[in-house]
Amino acid sequence: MTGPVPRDPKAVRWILARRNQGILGWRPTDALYRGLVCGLGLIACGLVLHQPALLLLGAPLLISAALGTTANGEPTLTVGARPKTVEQGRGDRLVVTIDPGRGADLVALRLPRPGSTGVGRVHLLPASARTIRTNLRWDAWGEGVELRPDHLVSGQDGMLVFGPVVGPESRRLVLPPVTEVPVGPLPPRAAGLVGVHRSPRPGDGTEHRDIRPFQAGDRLRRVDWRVSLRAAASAGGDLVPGTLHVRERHAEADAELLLALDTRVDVGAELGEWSTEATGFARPGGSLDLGVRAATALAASYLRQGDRVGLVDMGSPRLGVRPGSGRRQLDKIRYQLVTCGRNAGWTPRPVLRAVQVPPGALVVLLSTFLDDAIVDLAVHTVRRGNRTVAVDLLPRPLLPQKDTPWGPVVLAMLEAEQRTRLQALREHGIPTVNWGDGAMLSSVLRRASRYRGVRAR
Amino acid sequence: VNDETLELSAGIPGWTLRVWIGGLGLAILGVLVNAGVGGAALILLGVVLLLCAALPASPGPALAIVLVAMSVVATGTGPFTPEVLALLPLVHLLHVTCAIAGLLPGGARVHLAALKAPALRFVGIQAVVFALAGLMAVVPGGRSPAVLEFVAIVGVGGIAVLVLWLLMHDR
Repeated sequence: MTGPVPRDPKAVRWILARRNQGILGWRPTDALYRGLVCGLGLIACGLVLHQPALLLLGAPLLISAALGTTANGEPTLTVGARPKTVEQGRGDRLVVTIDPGRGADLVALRLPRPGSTGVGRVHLLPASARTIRTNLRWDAWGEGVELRPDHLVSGQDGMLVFGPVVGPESRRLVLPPVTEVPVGPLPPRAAGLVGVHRSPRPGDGTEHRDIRPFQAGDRLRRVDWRVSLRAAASAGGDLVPGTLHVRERHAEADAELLLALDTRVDVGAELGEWSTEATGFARPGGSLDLGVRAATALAASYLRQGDRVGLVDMGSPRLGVRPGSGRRQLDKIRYQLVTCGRNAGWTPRPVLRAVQVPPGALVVLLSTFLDDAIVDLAVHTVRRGNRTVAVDLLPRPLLPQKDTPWGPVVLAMLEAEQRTRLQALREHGIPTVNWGDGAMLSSVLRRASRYRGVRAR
Repeated sequence: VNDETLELSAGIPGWTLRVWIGGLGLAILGVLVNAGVGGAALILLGVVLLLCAALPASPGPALAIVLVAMSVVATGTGPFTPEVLALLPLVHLLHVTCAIAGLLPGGARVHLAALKAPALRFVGIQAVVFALAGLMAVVPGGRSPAVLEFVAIVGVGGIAVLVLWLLMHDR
């Protein structure tokens, strides 16, 4: 048999409730204590000391404090449904609904505004505004926290507050933009029976290749009767063996483009900032940003003309997308590029294994070429038999570090070293091009598709 | 956009409130100089008012209010002189502005619509206080009976108990 559960004294319960209130719910601020203590103190002193001025000074403080104790209820905040993945350069409407509770006067709410970075600043708003609307715009690709509506609700004159409450984080994946560039023909693969590119081999395509005498195994519908009758006429008028001719067509094959992105470094045009961490996901206008945009543009352009495109992250070998075609492949590559950007700088040496490069694929190396390892890798790729094009991602013009007299000298040496590396690539039969807007790349790719490159020795 | 829907604009920087507190501090100092306060008391009050602008959620504002009240008593300024009548809204405004500024972190933005309700309340309270001052000016002067003073003190104590009860009341 159990007796009644002993209850804490009322004072203890009140103290415990006050302690819990300090963590959750409405709680008084310093301003309330200031209004109460100063207001009551000044009025009491005014009465005792017969100083009406003190009474008048204390009265507004006390009235303000008394009015400020009326807030109650539990404020709630609701954020409208948000998309998980968005496109760079687009925007959306954000609607936040607040129920501040009874007696609330002010709401301090953290919200992003167009042009602001991250989760935005705290805005002091009237509690009478139940719906807050703002526009969002995604100007940089990447992944991160887009919205975290931290909020604090205040009673009248800031005497009581509810919070601060840390809002639920809303993460967003911003895909890099799709900008198509003029593309050139790709070298077709040695294997395969279907595709959009003319193969040098004879096959079942639509493009005329040659007219030759009939051989065993040729289909009868391939016989060119006009040429055959003319040959027969010149041989006496009878279709004897050797006078029958067939039309031969080129085979059609697909082409593969492998985009090899060097994510080991992310540098901008200012040399003085190379040793500092980028504030955002990637340095805007930096080499990684440029590389991701270039890879997306190339992938979109070549996938659009029916080629197969794959992606390799030379800074994180486990990341990448196997060659494929179609719209979904473009989406895969864009998602993976964001992942590559997040894991940038994973390894100090670039990696491009033979198994990652399909035979016959054209390899586009997207790198800043700031070290010799990437040059060695490019030469090895060419020696394995893959046509390779080097795309320089170093932002131009580079600016020297300003706070040191050695800045211009360092810049000159760095540029000279990079020129030497690019020259070495050209000597190994690897065409080089600065990305710019991608327009120059089409002519380089056209030349690369004809050039046989350095064969494996 | 109606009263319940707000389009988020840029607002004004949160430090504007602190500049406003600094301005109020200068105004208070000016009034006290006019009332005859000077020397170390004025320097001390200036430092405390600077503290109010820098740290509005600190005990600075309370100390400033106490110092202003002590200065008024020390100079023997009458209750209905222009100096005291000017200090009434200034001290109240300092108290309210510090309370609101103390809610905001660095880099916050203030939307002027948020200050409308506190401004109206301020005007209302000041109207009540000036009505009280007017009433005190017209009632006969001289020493009040001891019983009346005792009742007034008990009344102040009653207000304190009432506010404590409101604070303890479950929300």
